[in-house]
Amino acid sequence: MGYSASRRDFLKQSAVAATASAAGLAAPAINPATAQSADGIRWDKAVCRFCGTGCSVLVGVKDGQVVASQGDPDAPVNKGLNCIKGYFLTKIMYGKDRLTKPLLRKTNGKYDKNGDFEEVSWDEAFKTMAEKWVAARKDKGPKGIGMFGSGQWTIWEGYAAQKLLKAGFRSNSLEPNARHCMASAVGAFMRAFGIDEPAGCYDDLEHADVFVLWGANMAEMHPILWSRLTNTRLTKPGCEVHVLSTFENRNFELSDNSMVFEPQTDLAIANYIANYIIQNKAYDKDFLDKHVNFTKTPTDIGYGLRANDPREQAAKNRGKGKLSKISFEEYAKSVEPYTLEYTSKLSKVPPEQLEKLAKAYADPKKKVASYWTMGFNQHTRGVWVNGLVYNIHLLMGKIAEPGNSPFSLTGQPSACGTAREVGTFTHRLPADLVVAKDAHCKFAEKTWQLPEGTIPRANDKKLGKTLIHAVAMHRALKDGKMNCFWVMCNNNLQAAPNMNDEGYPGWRNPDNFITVSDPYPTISAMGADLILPTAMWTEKEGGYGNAERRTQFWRQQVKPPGEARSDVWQIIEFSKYVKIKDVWPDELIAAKPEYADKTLYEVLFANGQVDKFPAPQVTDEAGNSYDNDESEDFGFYVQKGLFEEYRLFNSVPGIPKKGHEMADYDAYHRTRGLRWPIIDGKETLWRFREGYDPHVKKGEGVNFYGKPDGRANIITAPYEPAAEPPDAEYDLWLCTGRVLEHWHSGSMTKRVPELHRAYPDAVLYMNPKDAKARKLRNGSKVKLSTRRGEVTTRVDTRGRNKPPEGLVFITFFDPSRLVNKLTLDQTDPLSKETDYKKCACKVEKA
Amino acid sequence: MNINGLLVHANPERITDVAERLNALAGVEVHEMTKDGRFVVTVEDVDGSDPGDAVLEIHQMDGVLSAALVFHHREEDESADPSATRE
Repeated sequence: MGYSASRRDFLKQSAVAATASAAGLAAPAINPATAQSADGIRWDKAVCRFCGTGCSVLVGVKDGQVVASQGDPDAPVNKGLNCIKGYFLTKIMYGKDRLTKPLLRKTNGKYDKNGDFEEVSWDEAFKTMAEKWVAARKDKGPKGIGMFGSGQWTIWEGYAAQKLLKAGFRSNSLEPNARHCMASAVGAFMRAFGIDEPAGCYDDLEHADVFVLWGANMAEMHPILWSRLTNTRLTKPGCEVHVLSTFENRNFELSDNSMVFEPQTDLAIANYIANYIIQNKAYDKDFLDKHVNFTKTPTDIGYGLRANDPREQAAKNRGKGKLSKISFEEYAKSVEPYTLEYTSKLSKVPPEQLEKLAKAYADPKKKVASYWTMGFNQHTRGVWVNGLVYNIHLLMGKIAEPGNSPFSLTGQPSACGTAREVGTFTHRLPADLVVAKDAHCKFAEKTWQLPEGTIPRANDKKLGKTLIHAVAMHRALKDGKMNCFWVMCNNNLQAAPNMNDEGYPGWRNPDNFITVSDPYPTISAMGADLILPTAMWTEKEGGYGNAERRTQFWRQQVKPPGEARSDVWQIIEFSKYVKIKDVWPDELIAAKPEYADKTLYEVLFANGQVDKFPAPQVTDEAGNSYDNDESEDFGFYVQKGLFEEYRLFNSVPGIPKKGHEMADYDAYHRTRGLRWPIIDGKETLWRFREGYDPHVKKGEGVNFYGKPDGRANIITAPYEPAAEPPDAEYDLWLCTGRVLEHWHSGSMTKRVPELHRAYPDAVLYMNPKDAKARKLRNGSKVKLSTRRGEVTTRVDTRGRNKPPEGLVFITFFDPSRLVNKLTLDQTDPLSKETDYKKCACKVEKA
Repeated sequence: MNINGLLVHANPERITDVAERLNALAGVEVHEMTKDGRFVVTVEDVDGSDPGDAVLEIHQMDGVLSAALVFHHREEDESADPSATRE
């Protein structure tokens, strides 16, 4: 790389060297960031803002702007790789329509729900909001207010929100958008293992011999994990890939066994595999004897619709999920009906392909990794179907060791780290604790220095039933039972189901005051009454937890524009506007009279714990300095204080549930993340297995310690039909989802010109035969309608997704085609997660 | 100037044909390929185009299984000003 080479040639050589190294074809190349350091760019690590993979990226800053990004070569997750959305990370913060001032709907200088947005100060915004919130809490009780947060919140943002709602306002009306995304996975983890999140980790992508994708389009949604999987498939002799989907997608290019199945019949396919294993006596009897209980779950449980829906009234065991023990023989009998012939006929998958899949699982010599995302989670039997795959892995003992890994992938960067681990769900508290358990509430109250009884119990003696999930929140807004709603770090008006009948009427109900915090004027922001401008991603110090239990931090790299402030700042600042006596009853205040005149801020955040670390001068190992706007403003190290208090739930002696241990705050700034549980500074790659997990004692072999008896549950559950299958009028299945170029509702990716250009509008993927039967061709303009609404779009019969006859697929990112006007607000009755993948629609020429 | 390294995985039965189609794209050059389907590729700007567009095209290319960026460099004198993206 001499001086004689031109600058372009030098950079090209660097690119080739780095790529060859990533391909495993050369010795590790020089750090690409270092190769460019001559430009006066400051480089530091951050976590990608998009999916749940948790890639580490190097962020280059010059003159106060993020000007460059790189896959981080030192990151174990992505090993220097970066996907196309990650490539455009530098542009997500610089859309021309960034919000920079709070905006309140006003007429003649006063708040008016039907007024136009006018710029207001933060002080006026929070004063208006506090007045509405205090009144709604008083009038309507704990469900009168609600907050809808995010799996994109940093860890401390979720933690601060948890305290504000459950301790401050004494309301369990806190939900994350992860309810629409991961709740079924959580439900299944808790039922099978008694502790959330996977046993394995991404290292399984190199250790497995067989990969099975159950409803996860990894090629487009998790491109870096897909790159690792592809590399293993191409370079490891005998490696095979099986793909199950309700339509042909990009994964099929790599697949050795591509299966398109009829929607909902994944339940039957999983049971067929279990039946095959049992019929062929391939199961691991020793593992089952020592480590597994057999159970069954109530059936005919409904579809999470409103109670007056005939489908709910017909359900025998609506919403029920209590497990009862059965014998192995009873379990074997329960899967017996799922013969090859029956399952093939029901699923429309050829028998030889089903058998090939079953054989891969049943072969004791093959290590199998199963992956799934929204195909399983957004499913009216999502908890069941997650569990049915655990059943297969448990039958074979193929779990919790390198390569044998049932693995739930996540869609958001901190669905695990924030929504699940901090527990920003209505029923949860940090570290897998729940508000249904009095002892857990008492532990939280003690940790937070609050009187006993502060946190509303799930079934509270005085407050009644206090839990309310995401879909129920929109219903409560429509019905006027919830009057204040704060949506932060997500676009729920666009992303929640059945917008026409539930979401929109709820938001625009004249009795309701809706606040949306967002960097951009999204559909949700425009549907709100108060918009708060948000500092995003590296405009603040942050921490995310990815799908493999890895917690990762970054420093604030740049200043946010205008008056935009981070979510954690907004939550903490708002708490200054409400006093304890505004929201607590006298009898509770009597237990702590000194709190009466204090603000929520003083009790929740300036409590001697959260504010115990002084505002830092943040520096890196090279001596570069970084801002920390929140700490400067509040006068203490906000992020560290919140995280260290959170650690009192998971990392100190005497906690109710072990297994979530985390390292101290500063350790995460020094590493590319660590996978919990962290014991004696060491991370855990495979949980529950002796030799890998320090919680498993010598001689135990395997210990599923999330359960009191150390045994995991095999849970039998049958195939049951979907809530709204196609009929004579609405004759097609409608499946909704995403594409590579756009992330979720497009708030960020729509503002990257290249991504927008590459995929500007939501098109309707359709089988050419279905198109022909409706006298349509590729590109035809069509009306797509369901019982709830319609959108106009164009047909694509030749695109990357190729549906079978009888099914169409469309993406939900496009604000000009609001696909959630079409979807049904059906949920898994156990997890309360929406099924966005299955309702009935029709397509006509427009 | 905008230069990127791209790791491409392709169907091993189609490597010759994939290499041809990659090399035919403006600003795209295959530097190394293996029988099992791994490609070391560079993607450069041509006449001010963003290499990201070419990467998006490669993603959708027949026979391509996966594409991941390894190295990106944008020289500041041309387009480091992010306001350039505020169109």
